[in-house]
Amino acid sequence: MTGIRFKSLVVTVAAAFVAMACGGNNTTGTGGAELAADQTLTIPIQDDVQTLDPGHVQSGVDITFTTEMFAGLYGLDNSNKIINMIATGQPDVSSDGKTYTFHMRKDAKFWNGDPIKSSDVLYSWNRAAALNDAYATVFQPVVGFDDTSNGKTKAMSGLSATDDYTVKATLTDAAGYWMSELAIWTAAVVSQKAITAAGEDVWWTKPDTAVGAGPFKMTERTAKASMAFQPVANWWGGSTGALKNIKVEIGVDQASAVKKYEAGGYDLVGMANNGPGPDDILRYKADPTKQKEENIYPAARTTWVNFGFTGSSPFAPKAGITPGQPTAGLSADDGKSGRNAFSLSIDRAALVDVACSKGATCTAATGGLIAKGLKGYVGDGKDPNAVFNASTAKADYTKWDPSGSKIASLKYRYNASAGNTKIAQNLQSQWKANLGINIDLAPSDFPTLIADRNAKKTPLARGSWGADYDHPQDWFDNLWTCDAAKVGHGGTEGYCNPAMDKTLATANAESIDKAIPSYQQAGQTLIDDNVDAVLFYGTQTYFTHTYVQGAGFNSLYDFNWQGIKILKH
Amino acid sequence: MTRGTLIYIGQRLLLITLTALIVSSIVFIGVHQLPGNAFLSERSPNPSAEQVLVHHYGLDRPWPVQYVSWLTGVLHGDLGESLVNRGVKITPLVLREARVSATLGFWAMVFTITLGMSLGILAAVKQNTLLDYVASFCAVIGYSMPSFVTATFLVLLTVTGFFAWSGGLVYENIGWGKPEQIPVPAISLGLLPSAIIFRLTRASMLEVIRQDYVRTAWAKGLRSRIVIIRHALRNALIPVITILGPITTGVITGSIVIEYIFGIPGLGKEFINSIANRDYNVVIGVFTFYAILVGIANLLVDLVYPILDPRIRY
Amino acid sequence: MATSPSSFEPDTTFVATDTYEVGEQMSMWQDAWRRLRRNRLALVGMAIVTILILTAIISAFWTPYPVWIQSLGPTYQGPTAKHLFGLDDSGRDILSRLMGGAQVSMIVGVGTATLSSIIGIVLGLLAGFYRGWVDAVVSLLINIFYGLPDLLIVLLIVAVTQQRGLQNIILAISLTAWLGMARLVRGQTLSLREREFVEAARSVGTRDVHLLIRHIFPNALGPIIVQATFVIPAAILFEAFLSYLGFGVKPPTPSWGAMASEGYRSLQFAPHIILIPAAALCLTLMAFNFMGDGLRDALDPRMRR
Repeated sequence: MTGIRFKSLVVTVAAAFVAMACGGNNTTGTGGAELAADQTLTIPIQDDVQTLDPGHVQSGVDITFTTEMFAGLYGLDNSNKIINMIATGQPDVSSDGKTYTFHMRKDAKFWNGDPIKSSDVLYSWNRAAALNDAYATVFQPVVGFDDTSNGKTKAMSGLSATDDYTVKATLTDAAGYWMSELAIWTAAVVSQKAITAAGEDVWWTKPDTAVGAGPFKMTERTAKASMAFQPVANWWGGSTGALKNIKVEIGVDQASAVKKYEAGGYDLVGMANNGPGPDDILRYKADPTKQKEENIYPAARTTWVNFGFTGSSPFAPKAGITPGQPTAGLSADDGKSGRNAFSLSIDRAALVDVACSKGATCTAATGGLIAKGLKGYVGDGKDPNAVFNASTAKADYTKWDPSGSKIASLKYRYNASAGNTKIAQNLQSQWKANLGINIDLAPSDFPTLIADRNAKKTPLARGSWGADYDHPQDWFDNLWTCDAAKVGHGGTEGYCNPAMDKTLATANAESIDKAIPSYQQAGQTLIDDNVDAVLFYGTQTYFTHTYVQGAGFNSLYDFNWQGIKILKH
Repeated sequence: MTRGTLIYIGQRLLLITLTALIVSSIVFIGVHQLPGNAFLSERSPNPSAEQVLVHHYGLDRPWPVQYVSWLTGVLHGDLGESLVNRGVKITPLVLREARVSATLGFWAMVFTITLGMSLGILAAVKQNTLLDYVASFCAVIGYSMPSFVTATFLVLLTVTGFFAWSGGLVYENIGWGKPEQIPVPAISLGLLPSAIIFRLTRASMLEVIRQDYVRTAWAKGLRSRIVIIRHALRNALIPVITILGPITTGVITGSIVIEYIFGIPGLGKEFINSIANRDYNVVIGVFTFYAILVGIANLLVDLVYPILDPRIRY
Repeated sequence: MATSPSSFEPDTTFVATDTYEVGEQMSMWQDAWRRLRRNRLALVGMAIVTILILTAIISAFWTPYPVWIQSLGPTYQGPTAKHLFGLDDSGRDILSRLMGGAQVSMIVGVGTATLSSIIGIVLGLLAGFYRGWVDAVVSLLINIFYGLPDLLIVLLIVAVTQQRGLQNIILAISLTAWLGMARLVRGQTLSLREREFVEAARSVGTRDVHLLIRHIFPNALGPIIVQATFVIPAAILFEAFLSYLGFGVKPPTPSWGAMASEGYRSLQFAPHIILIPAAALCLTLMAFNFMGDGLRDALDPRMRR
């Protein structure tokens, strides 16, 4: 009797298991184009946003949400092309390229119903300039920017409104790149009413007062815990797409995020600069069933080893150059052999294998400092310094520093993170193995590294740049002009080439198509002078369930939420 | 509550306040001597924008002034504002996360005390039997395993193990918010302290039981055995209660690592993150909170003494 | 330290008995050694500790491969003939790094035990002997730091000084570890100073320092040794925690805690990377704990026959 009872129990349990396995989660969604009933997208991010105020936003995480909540005259589509948002079309540009006249739509509104007029555009742009945060330089071409950003005036004199729907801007010089800058979030329109009522620091933190003109609005926010967004009803810009709800869980580390993703708790991992960890990426790469959920996109970011060109840096062309003084066109370059040695001794293939999950999270850089895929990229294989050659490297090093005194106090500076630590340790190991020298690692937090780099106190450090818009001006003007080489500015090498600066100034004024050869030539100059040891270009990895369509990354930014839909699954 | 007890409580509260003050001021001063700040960004830094932020947080004032203003804030319950996540007030943040950590800590303590004490009593009563040897051996292993090792094994067991055995049906959902997410981190956290409690309970019970009058009564029969156990327990528990204070401190400490591993949004994780992000306002706020919390926990434990041992009086 | 088992024993356990005299020292140690030898677990513990010390010394001169060299083979590779414990996530030989980690653990353990013991013994002796305001100050210090989570304090010290390196870690951990020793020695001193031999020595005109060093300290030596033995695994544990969280020794110096931290992320497809250092850590801690238990039982005066 117990035997029969036991058997029937086993059968029942087995049947239950089978039923559960067959019903429920069927992720091999062959449901065609049928949309799921619940159009909610749930994603994880590791750290809370710093700010969602367009005048302050600078980190990759913040950018994703800000571009959905706010809109300006122009925006970027999924292929990074400039599209019209509040503007009705391209601006009228004067023949000397210094006067822009923008025409606005008459039906653009904030989500609280307030109409958007040219006065709002002026308020937003002047506010951003006055706040003078990281991206205020977007308005640098405008006449009067310097005084506004220094606090002397409240509004830029070059900005005016001819009528309620027309904005006129006068620039100090022609700037072919200005349109690219206007398409990013800093130029978005914000509501003076909401900001003054709620307060400058607080307005973006609460759903009721975070007023914008974008297709989505914030509906919930608990600091360091969660955020939620919903489409704006009857949005003036057209359809807001299929998604009805976007839920963001904050404080989830990479490993936990992937575990929860696999359990169905998240629809994708990777949006807002919060991708899966290198170990999970590796695991997915090796697993044929999981490979189709892994999408690796090239990211417009280059990472390199920064050589110091000024002060007491052993890599400097001559000792004692003050930052901002020319470092190119000198009679001799005493640091060149050293820079060669350090660059040629790095086997980038091994580095990428070890530090980038066998090549999943970065690709070896062979074409110069501007990342592959962007305008101004010099070309595959055009960087002879990026080729691994241990014997030449050793010879160069012995020539440069026979006694070992030059590297005695040299340390490799970098900002500590899991990925950077791995890269740093691999560099240290390769320099030891191939040059026979011991370079200490000196990690620090990011602000300290930036402070020291900008003060030109770091002869050997990690350097990296992610493009803000697809225009070489974004790279050169911030990193490699004589102005950037001054103390306190972002040209961390201190490299100053007056001849190259002249070429760049001309190129900046031209339209992008005419200017590309000049930018490429400048890029080649940087390679010839071996300004940095370029390591790799970044990638952005997404894990996306097959039932999520329309999500992705275009090397600079996430795809718009309007294009994402959840299929039946 | 006698007058003596009230005085004692008063003295202890004073000590707690003093401790919190001293410790947090050391942290405050130490942290404000450091170069650099949390405001720089990768792009060309705008000195004037940085100045605005510095002024907003009052970092341009001499540090004694900052300290006094911070102290005044603390007395009103305001721990300040986060340096990194602007607009986020620290006090509500700390309170919210403290609740999470408290839940985790509570269940870890429940596990610790239940397992540790019951096994300790059993092992003492059945001294030198197989149960005793096995339990004692396991206890040594227990407090030789750092909590992150315990956590690793548990995660391996539950996530990979259950997942594989049940063919994908049972899944340990790593995270926080659901009741089923509590056992694994709580056990990881509570295993090491439970080994300590086990050993102490056993040793303490043994001391009481070994006394002659107990042995005599013991030999007399089952009923009296239960009475004896209950009687012995009261005395045996006193040393155990003594270390509940440090055990609580240990659980609070251990929760830092456990929260880090399991991604639990508690105070420990916040502490680690804020050190990494150089968000010193949060670091000081969390640390001050911890100092007060631990002080109160120890005080409460000490107040339980007189209940167990009427000879002890304040 | 809060999580060290020995610090929970009430002070009264170690009160010296009346028959305790300086002249009996030799036979006490012999007796203790006899008892220790009979404790099999303690012997196993001592054997493991000896192996550990040997490994640490050997690794200073030789390891199968250099601990820092990467890409020795495919990353995450499991144990093979060439690499007995496999390769880690950067392609480094795990066996070599395990040996190097033994060095770090021993240095931290012994260094912390030494430093914290010195501080604790000195302060404890002074507080117990002179009482009065000296005792008040020391006791206040102890009470303040007793109530604080030591991991927090150590983390803060390490993070605020921003200095990595073994000396700073030893210093930081010692600053919280001295409490237990100070409390113990203070209790011992308080009771020992009432003994007749102290009175006798005093009446002869012995100086205080001489009293402390030659009479009181040796009689408290037994419990001191036990306490110090338990500080070692606690310090090793602490260093592992610090390294796990990323605040420990500078890379590429191997540390078992750091190795475990690096291996946690690849738990599911390369478990050997975390399991091996974790096992080494547990074995070491167990060995020291068994040894300490054995020593305590051997030196416990009440168990003398």
